[in-house]
Amino acid sequence: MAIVKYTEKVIEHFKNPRNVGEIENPDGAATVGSPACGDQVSVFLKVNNGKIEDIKFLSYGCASNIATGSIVTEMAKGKSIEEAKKLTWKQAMEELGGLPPIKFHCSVLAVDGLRAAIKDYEERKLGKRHEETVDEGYILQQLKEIIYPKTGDNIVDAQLIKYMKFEDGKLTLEMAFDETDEFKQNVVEEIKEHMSEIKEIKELDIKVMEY
Amino acid sequence: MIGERIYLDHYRTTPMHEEVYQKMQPYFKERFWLPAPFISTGTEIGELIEGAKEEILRIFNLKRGDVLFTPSGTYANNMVIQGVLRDADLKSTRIIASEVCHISILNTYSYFRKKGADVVFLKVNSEGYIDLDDLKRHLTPETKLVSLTHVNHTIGTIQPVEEIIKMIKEVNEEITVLLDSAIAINSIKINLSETNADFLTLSGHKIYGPKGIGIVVLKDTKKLKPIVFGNIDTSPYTPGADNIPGIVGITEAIKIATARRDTYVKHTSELQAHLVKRIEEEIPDIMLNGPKVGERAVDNINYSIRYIEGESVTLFLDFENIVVATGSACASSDLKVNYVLSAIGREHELAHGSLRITLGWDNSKEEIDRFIETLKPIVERLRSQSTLTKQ
Repeated sequence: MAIVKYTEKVIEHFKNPRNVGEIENPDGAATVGSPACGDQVSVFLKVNNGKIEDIKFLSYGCASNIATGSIVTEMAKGKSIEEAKKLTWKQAMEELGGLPPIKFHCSVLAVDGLRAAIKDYEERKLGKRHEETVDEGYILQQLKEIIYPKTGDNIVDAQLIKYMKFEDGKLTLEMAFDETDEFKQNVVEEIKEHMSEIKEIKELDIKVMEY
Repeated sequence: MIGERIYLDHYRTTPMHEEVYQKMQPYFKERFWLPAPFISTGTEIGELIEGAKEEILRIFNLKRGDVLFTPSGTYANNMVIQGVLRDADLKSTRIIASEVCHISILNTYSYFRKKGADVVFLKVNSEGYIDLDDLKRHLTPETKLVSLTHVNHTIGTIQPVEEIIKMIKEVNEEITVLLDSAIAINSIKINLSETNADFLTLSGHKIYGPKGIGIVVLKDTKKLKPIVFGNIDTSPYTPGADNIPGIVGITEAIKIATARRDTYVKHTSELQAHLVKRIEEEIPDIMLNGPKVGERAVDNINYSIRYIEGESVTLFLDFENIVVATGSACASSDLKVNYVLSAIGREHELAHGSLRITLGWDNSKEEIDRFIETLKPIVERLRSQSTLTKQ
């Protein structure tokens, strides 16, 4: 195991997180993650003239979860909705001076929270409807949101998925891991968690092979 | 107090006793030799090792037997499990452990499961105890090995090992029993003439001795096959250059643990009672993991602190020079939630918010007070910014 350590900036944001709390009657709000997975983030927005006038967050999670919640809200504050949508977890992470690969998923979660809050704002206030066609391409995009904690790549680019099929509501995945891979279980749990959010997937079959 | 630090993580590792450190010193530089026949340098070290073995056998009340020196407690468990199973026909071999055993046992068992052995991980109840009847039901004629972790390293459950081993041997005397007492030995006396285990394993650094050394105490070597090969200086089971300072160190640490056990139990149990009283007075919405005080190991406390995550707590404590452990997946190197807490039925959320506080010689009542006074505002603060709250 490599030495896993936080940067000074992560520690600083963890100790003194910006924009912590709730907004009463927010224009957009969302909670992502789950206590079962170890982290959860809520994001609240106040939008004025298409700009994020105020933003707050709550976090149940580790230091990197709190620190990325802090930095993401700081980065989004004052931005237009369209600009805020373009924020990526990589930018958030760079702003923090980097995170250990094992913690990348925390920065993904904070950005997911922001995006979900924006989506909620658009649906509630602008009456926009977000409809997705759930096909293999869409599912692959969703799988790309899951980080392989060993390398920090997403699990698709890390080539962990050897086979994928989506038919009649059943998603079949075949995955290959090294025998000594300590993150097998974590990746499988993360996939289950993410896929459970796509209601079109009625059945999930993950086959795990070891080499 | 160790320097500026309040150290409350003694189940992870312990500071070395000064006496142990001093005893080891000559064997790094001046008396650096290895055992060998006839020549004086070699026989001096040979006699030193023999003396250490005799001392250890005497402490565990064995008239005959052997002591193997290994690179750690993990190696000791591996040496026994792999050594006992080396020539077994795995297709007709059952091995049993509990699901809260130390990871070195669980992972070695999982390896043998892959190789075709019938591996049973016994369930435990909400306090971490295995059920004797359940174990008895699983003892088939194919059962070759039962491994027990004496004191649980997460929640301090003390398995009634004497009773368990007696039952196993009554069912079938041929079943080999491995007893891992790495954590237990500080507070519990072990008499291997009464506790009928075939193999006892210990680790140096858990008992105020050196790192890099563990031992296997055994009654006879009939059941064991070597799994490491090379030049044999002292034992065919542990070829290669012996860790002489380590051997001297662990032997001294075992002697001290035995001689001062009563004082240790008194010291840590007083601190434990004080800690439990204070934490329950000061911090609401917490849950004790493991048996109640009086039944659990005297040097272990484990609480789940609701609505917050453990890594955050341990880091804030670290900023104040206080060291504790957590069962949170976020703080582990494989992102898995603590398996012991899962096994006793704690939901993930409660395991994530768990703190393990393990006490030792260097702790004082004042330190416990400072720990509680530091912990309280940390918990309040993290709760105030959490997505989870009391419903």
